[in-house]
Amino acid sequence: MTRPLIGLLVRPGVPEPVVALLTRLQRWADVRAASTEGPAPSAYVATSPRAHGVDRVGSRPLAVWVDGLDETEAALATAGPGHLLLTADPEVAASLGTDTVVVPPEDAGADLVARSPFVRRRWRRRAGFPADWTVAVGAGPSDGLAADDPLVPTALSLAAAAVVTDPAAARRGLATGCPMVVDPGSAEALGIEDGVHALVQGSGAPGDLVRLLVDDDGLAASLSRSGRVLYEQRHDAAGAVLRVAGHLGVLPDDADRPLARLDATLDALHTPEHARARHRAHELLAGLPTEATCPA
Amino acid sequence: MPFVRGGAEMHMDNLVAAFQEHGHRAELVRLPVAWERGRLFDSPTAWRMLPLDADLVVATNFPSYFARHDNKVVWLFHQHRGAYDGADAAWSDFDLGDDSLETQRLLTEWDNVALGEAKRIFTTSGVVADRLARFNGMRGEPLYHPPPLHERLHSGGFGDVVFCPSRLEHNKRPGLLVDALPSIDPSIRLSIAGRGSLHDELVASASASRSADRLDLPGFITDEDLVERFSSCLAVLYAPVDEDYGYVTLQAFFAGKPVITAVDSGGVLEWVEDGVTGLVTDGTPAGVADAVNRLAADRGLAERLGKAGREKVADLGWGPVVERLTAP
Repeated sequence: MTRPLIGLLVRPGVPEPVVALLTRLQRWADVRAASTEGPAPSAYVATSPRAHGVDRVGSRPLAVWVDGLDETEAALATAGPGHLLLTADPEVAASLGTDTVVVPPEDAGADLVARSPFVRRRWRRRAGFPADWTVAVGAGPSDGLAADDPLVPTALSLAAAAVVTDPAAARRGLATGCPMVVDPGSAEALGIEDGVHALVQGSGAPGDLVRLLVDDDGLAASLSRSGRVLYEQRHDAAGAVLRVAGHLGVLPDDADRPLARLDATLDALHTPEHARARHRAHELLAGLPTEATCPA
Repeated sequence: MPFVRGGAEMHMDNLVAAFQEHGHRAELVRLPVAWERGRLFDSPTAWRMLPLDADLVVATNFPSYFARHDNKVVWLFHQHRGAYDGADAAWSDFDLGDDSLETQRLLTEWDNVALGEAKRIFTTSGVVADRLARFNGMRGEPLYHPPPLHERLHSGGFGDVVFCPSRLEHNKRPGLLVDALPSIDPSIRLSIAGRGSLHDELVASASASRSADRLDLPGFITDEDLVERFSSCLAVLYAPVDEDYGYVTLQAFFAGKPVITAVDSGGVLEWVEDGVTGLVTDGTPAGVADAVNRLAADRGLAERLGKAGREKVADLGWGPVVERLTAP
C-alpha cells in the first residue's frame, strides 16, 4: 500500500517545533518539499503563512505553522476551508481562534506515562519509599528539587503528592498524573483550575494542602485523572500531532485496515508502543489477510 | 461471561427482562474474558472493536464497559478487583513485580478512558462507588435493585435454623459460623446452602468440634427450597469479606429476617444497621455466636429486626432502575 505524501511549503528558518512535528508525521506519511515534479501530495504543511506556495494549494488539506504574533495577520488572511493553523504559543493560539491546534514543545512531558495514586503507592512500596512520600519542585529556597533536576520526572512519577512552583515541572506533573499543589503562576500558565486539576496555593498553606492530598484518596485520584486529561488536551505534543495527522488525512483508512483501526483504538487508550497489549493484539491479527503492517 | 453463572449473570438477565417488561427491545451481549495478567487486555480490546448498533448501551462489569457507543451508560458491578483492591491477595496474580505494576498502571489508564466516555456512571452499591472514587477518581451514583426471587420471598415463622446461602469459598467466610457453632445455643442448627472448595474443610471442622449433627450442607438448592428456607429460619448469616452488594442481605430482608454480618462485609453494611435491621459483629466466631444466641433467646427481637429490614427494601423495584438507566 502506498504511503500518503505530504508536501512541505517552506520559508527559510524552519522553527524547531515544526521539525519535531514533521518527524512525528512520518509515522504515517512521507514528507517531501513541494515540487511540480513527481507525484502530487495529498496534503500540505507550511512552515509559515508566508511560505512559498501557500496560496496555490487549492482544496487540498493544509496545516500552516504560525510562529509568533507577528504572523497572525498573515495566517488569518491565508486561512480558508481545509486549512488548519498550528502554533506552539498559547498566546498566538488565543489570537487565532479556537480551532487552532497548539503543538507544545516536544519535551513537555513526552514519554511520561500517567500513574494513578494507587499505582504510585504500590511503586513506593516496591522501591522502599515511605507510603506518604511527597516532593517539592521549584526554584524557591525551600524547594526540594530544582525544576531542571533530572530526577524531577521520576520524583513526580512516584510521589504521593507534590508541591510544584515551576510551570515546566507542573506540566510534567500533569503528564504523570501527580496530585499537585501548584503556585498561581504555574496554574495560570497551564490552565489549571483549583480543585479540578490540582490545588492552587492561596487556598491554604502548601503543607496543609499536600497533606490533604496524601490523606484523601478520592481527591488525589480525581486530580490525578483530571490533570492528565488537561495535559492530553492542551499540553501533549503526541496528541496534537494526531489531530494534525487526522486533519491532513494521512491516518490509515479505518474502513480498509483492521489493524490500523486496532492501533487507533490502542492509541486512544494511551497504550505504549511496546505494551504487551499491543503486541498481543497484533499477534492475534497477524495471520489474517490484511494490507496493514505492524509498526516497528 | 459464557460458562459462568453467578450473581452478576443473574443480575444481567434480570436487567434485560426488566427492560423488556418496560417496553424496550433489549439483548444481552456476552464475551469470554481471561482474568490472568498475560491475557487481561484481550477481552477489553475485543469489546473495543465490537460494532454495537443500538440506541443505548448499558455496560456493567469489567470488561464490558470497554464497549464504544455514543450513548453509553455504565452501571458498574465491579472492575477487575484482582488488580485493584484485591492486589496481593492470595486469589490475585498482581504483586509488586515489574509486570504486575505496569499492567496495573495500564489497566487503570484504560479504565479511566473507557469509564470516562460514559454519559453517566451508576454503581450497584456505595462500596463500588467508593472504590471507583478511590482508585479512578470518578464519581458513580449507587443505583440499587431488587434481588432475584424478591417477589416470591415471604416471611414465615422464626424457627431454630440460622440460614447461610453462600458459595463455600474463602471470601464468603462460611467457616465463621461453623467455628461459632460450639458456642451457640444447642437448640440452634446451621444450614449453609451452596457449593464450593471449602465443603470438606467445613465438614471436618464441624466434626472436630462435635457439632456436625447441627450442621446441614445441602449443596445447591432449588429456588423453591431457597424461598422456604428464608421463610422459616431464625436469622440469616451473611458475613463475606468486602462484598460489592450481596443479594443474600436483600433476600433476607424481603423474607422479613434479620441479618447477622461483620464490620468488614462491605456493601452488606449499606443495608444492615446494627440493632435496627440486623446485628453487626466483629467478625469473630465469638461475636457471631453472641449474635445468634441473642436472637435465639429473644424471638421478638428477631421479628422486629426482620420487619425493619422488610420496610427498608419495600421501595426496591426494577421500574425505577430502568427509568434511571434510560433517562435522556
